[in-house]
Amino acid sequence: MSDTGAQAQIFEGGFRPYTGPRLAVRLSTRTLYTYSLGRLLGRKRRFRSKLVPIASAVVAWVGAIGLIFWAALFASIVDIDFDTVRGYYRFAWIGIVLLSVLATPTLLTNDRRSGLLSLYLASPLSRSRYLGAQAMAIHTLLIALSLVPVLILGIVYTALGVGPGHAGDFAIFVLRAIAASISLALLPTTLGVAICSVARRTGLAMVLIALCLLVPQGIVNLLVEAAGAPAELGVLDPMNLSWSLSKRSFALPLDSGPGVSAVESVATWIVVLATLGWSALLASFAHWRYRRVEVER
Amino acid sequence: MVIVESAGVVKRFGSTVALAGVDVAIGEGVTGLLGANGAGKTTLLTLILGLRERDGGSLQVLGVDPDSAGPDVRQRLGYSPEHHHLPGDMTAADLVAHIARLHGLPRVQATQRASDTLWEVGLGEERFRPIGTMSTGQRQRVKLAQAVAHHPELVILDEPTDGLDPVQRADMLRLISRLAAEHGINVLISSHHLEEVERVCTSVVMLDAGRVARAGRISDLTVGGTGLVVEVYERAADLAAALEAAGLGAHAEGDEVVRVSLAAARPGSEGVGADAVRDAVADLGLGLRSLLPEHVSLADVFSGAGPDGGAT
Repeated sequence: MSDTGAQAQIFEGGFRPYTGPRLAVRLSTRTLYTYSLGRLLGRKRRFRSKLVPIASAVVAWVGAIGLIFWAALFASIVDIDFDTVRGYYRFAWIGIVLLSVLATPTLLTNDRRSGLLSLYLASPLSRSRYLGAQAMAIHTLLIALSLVPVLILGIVYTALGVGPGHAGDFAIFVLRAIAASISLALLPTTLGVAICSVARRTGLAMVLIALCLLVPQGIVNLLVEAAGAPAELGVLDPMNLSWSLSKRSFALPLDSGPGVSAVESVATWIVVLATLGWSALLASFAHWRYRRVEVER
Repeated sequence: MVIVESAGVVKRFGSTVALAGVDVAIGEGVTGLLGANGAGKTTLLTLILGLRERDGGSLQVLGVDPDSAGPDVRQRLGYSPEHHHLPGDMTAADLVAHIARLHGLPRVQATQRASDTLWEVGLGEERFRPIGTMSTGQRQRVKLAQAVAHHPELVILDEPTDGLDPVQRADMLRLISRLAAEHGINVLISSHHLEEVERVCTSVVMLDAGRVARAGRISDLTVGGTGLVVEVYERAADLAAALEAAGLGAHAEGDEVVRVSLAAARPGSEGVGADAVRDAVADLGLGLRSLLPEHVSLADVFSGAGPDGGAT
């Protein structure tokens, strides 16, 4: 018999007992996080599922691309202000709203309606781990929507000589950009998760998220400007609260005067506390709701 | 080895008592969980899965308390729900691999096992089809595949034949039997179909109003012990009369079957039975087709007509 023949083995295929490694239970959270991130991006799904993340990215990043071209073409003849990079979050916000409204319910309410939730809860995932993984996936994507264009802009502007002069300054810029993106995405994430814990219908959840993100602005401005209510009422406006916090992360000058969001005149510590408080409240509510969710048979 | 062991398990929902002291020991093999709607089957399953906390008693699943170590218990369990809702835009292979990964299998192994398991349940050719395009029978197979791909020690199947036609039911039952017999996976089936449970299960737990009404091996529960069934070619009425005269309770069913009740034997006639039937048949010159102990169906046991008449 030849050597090759002596070393040959027969590998049995088909279903058989599994004796390989099993990962720790806690890694199931990471598995769901990665999977949900892919689902939000439309991975392994029909093309129409990819439209929302693509549209959100286009909306959030198109301004950055325009600014890069503007800076590249006219850097030598006009003043390019680095503050436009730091103030870019207003553009990114549109993409964040779009993704929060359209993608969060698709992920969470669909899990309940498609029966996946019952399979998840019968796996090593606990309800808290399930909710945490989903919220992290949504938050990560929302952060990426604002952080990526700001970082690219920062790099391009720095390359053109209008950014931070030293590596240390650039590192501080990056850290501030990360803080700003996290704070900008925090409320839309927790609000979306909280609403999806109540609404079973995807369409209803979408409408409620849009209303909660966009409507308070008008009401709060009306109360503060027309009815003379205290400016602190601005903390009830999630959109401007998030914007203002991202702006404060860069220590940018705050706006003042008529027509400006009430929250701009509120002390920073109140803005920070309000953002964290709202997020904690909404996350706790979602957690409480999911603890009561029945596992479908 | 005992897979699930409970003692005095109590579960209340407000003022409603769903489980009122369940004492049960489920061993290896295929076990059926039977009970009418509201008997507490679903509540017991959710407690076994560690999805709810009990209000009293003790429960051990695979030697671990699911209340305190739910995720660790669920890593060793598989679960196939009753409902047929599955994500329509996922392929069967993706779903099975995803659930296997959640149960701790590394990515490569999960993908390989998903494929092997789908072949095992007869969906090898269909594994890359979106689940939304599959029939109810195929979805049942996908549910079974996702429940066993990670090779659990215990798989819980909730109404696994629901929505299937007779041929598909037979296939599914064969599949379940094979999982236990060939692959060593213990199975707990919650079902309303008594004849299916009788066909595939080795043991059964019957719940009634939150308590265990009957439990044990089906072979023990369905052996009547109280009578004989005699089949002759003709004159069953004559045979019944002769047995009555011999001190046995007997009645003819048609011209060919006689049911003999040993429990009704008169005092002093103990020890008769099969011998008395044999003698009577010989005396009458009848042709004996069969003489068998009376068999009690699981349905009889379930309705309290079986041995011990529904004792708890």
